[in-house]
Amino acid sequence: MSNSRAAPLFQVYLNGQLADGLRVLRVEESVNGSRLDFAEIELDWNQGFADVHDFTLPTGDDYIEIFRVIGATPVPVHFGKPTVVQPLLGPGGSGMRLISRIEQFHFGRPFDGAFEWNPTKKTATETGLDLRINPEIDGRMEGNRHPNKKETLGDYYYVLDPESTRTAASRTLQGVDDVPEVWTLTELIVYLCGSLNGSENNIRNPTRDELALVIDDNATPIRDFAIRFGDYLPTILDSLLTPRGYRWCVDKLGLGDRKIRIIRRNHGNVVHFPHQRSGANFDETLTQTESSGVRFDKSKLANSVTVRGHFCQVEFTAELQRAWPTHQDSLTSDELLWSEILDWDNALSDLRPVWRKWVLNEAGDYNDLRSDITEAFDMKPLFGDTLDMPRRRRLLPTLTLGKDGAPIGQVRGVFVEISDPNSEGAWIPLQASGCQLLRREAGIMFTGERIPNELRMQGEDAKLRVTATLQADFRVQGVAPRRATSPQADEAALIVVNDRQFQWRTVGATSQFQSDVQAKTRKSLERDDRAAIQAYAEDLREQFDVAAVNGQVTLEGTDHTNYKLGDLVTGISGRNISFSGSPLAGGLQFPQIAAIGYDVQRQRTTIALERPRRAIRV
Amino acid sequence: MSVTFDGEEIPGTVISFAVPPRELQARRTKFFGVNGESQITGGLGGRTLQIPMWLHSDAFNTANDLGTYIDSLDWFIGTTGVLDVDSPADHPQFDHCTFEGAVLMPDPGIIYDHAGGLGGHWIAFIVLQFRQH
Repeated sequence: MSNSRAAPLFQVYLNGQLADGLRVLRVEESVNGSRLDFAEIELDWNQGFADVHDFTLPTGDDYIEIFRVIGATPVPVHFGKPTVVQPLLGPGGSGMRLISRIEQFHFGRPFDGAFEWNPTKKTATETGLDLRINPEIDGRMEGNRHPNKKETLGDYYYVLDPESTRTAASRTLQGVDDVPEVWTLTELIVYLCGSLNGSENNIRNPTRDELALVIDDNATPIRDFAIRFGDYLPTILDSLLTPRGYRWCVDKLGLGDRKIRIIRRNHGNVVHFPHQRSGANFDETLTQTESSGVRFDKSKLANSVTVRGHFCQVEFTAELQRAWPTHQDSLTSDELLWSEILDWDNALSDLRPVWRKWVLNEAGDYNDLRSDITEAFDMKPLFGDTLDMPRRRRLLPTLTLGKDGAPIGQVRGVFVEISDPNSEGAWIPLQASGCQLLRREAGIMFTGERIPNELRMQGEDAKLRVTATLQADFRVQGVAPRRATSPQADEAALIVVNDRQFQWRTVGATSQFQSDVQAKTRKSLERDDRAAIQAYAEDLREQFDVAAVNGQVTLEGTDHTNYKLGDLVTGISGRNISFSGSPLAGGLQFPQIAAIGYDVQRQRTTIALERPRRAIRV
Repeated sequence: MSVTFDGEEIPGTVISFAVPPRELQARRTKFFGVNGESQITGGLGGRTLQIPMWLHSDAFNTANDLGTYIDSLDWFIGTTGVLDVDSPADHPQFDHCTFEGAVLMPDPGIIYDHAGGLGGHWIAFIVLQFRQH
């Protein structure tokens, strides 16, 4: 076994032709767009270029590809364009260096509006509207992907605004049977790559089949993701993928062939760095690791995770109480003109609530005001025993929706009814105007000049009820406690509030619309994320209950072919140094290769490792 | 027996000289604790050739003639071309050589060939230095 080997040859191709006069100094490739691939090249002195004269900035559309020749096989390692040119002139001599790089604008054009299908023009239009993917509208996420219309070049679905499909007639106009689809991560990547880099002049886009091998759409929902005007594809992919635990890179596949590849956290080829144990005789296949700067940091992990979502909400139906003393029931409409009792200094100001203010009495403010008000509103039918704190609350819009997709209530989303004078026990929707919701307690107030006659004329039989939503004091939550396999012996707790993503809203048993909602004859904003938030808490613990493993490893030579971006590195074999960030838990908790650099002059390969995590809130 | 460089003859007689090997570009790494070392080679580099010779010719009738000729060799410093050495070793020509100058050796310096073994004119012992790439 020989301990000596020849350095690999780095060949530079300029515009597809071998360029002998260009010499490679350094090549580096990385994941993501914050540091795009580059190569440093200089003109070879021995080729006769010995001086710099008559220089002007080159303006042609040149491109550079670099291959490593390992044995007899050329392996592509770089694509870029010479965007930085440096003529050198100094006491030591003169020459020319250039930096070949992939730039943002090599990935097509920047985002300049959403592509929507115009059904009247029968063509796609790039609108100037902001684009939010699966936007949040009235507290609810709605899909905005066209179910069936695609662009041929790029094979991506168009955007379809949910506001264009609110009725059956508008849906017919749009050529769809139902509301827009929800964008998955896969389809969004196809859209972004296809609409921005559809011509693939420099770099090809990933196919759906390739994405299917890597992306778990179920585990990575897209919610209200904003795309900014002017951003190029690399920036957008970074903001889309990184918080979700993905990365991306450009694979160099051959002369003239490059392609975007998506990398998933904890997925990839499993590799190691070799270094024999002390005392062994050197074997170049078993020892290649020149130095390691990998660090383990378990100070920033979290092994006990609590995720709190939005406050729980329940829709209910209940009668409101009269917020004035019984002896004032006999006052007439003429005695209660709003203009006369409105003035704060007026002696009649105490009459403002009479026949106007109807309350839930959720805090017990009106106990004993009337003989029939003896206790605070009972929350148990809504929230069970969990909620036992009487406090003032507000009436919120119904969860039940009307035909137009908005809450069914006619008073700022609250459904207000009065007793039917012609049918005992029946209710009819309030028609009177001037009804407003109280701002600091649950109730309504009539502020018209005259009190509602349909109530006053019923006298002591007049009743008023509301169907609305109340919010509890507790949130939907998921708890993932510390496990014995945590690398951190102490409990390192993480509490996250993510009320946009997780909610628990229900049309309660006391709501008059519950049966319709359950029968699906009425739509609602009901949502039960209890299982989802628990899964989320456990997923966060899975990701965060791992030591951070980052750093750089240097290998001797530039002829290593078994490492590529995204590979999982288990450690340094031979010396048995494990890179696992959670050795007791097992699984693929290893760092991934984030960058590879070849220093041709120093004959070194540097490999940067990182362990990507998804963001706490996405 | 003389030296011809880039088509120009430098008159005289070459003394035997050593031809060093080309330099090997190599990076050697010693891994801590592991016996032996790794070597990565990067091909061959250049070598310095030093050609000792008696500079003599019928044209060197005075010491000044010879001194002037030696000074004129400075014009060729930096020139790259083919070096052909006519010597008993009969070495093939050396391609890609750059002339780095002529060193006039102090012992004996510029002297008169009284014995007549080198033509009976003024002679000098010089060393021509070349770098082969």
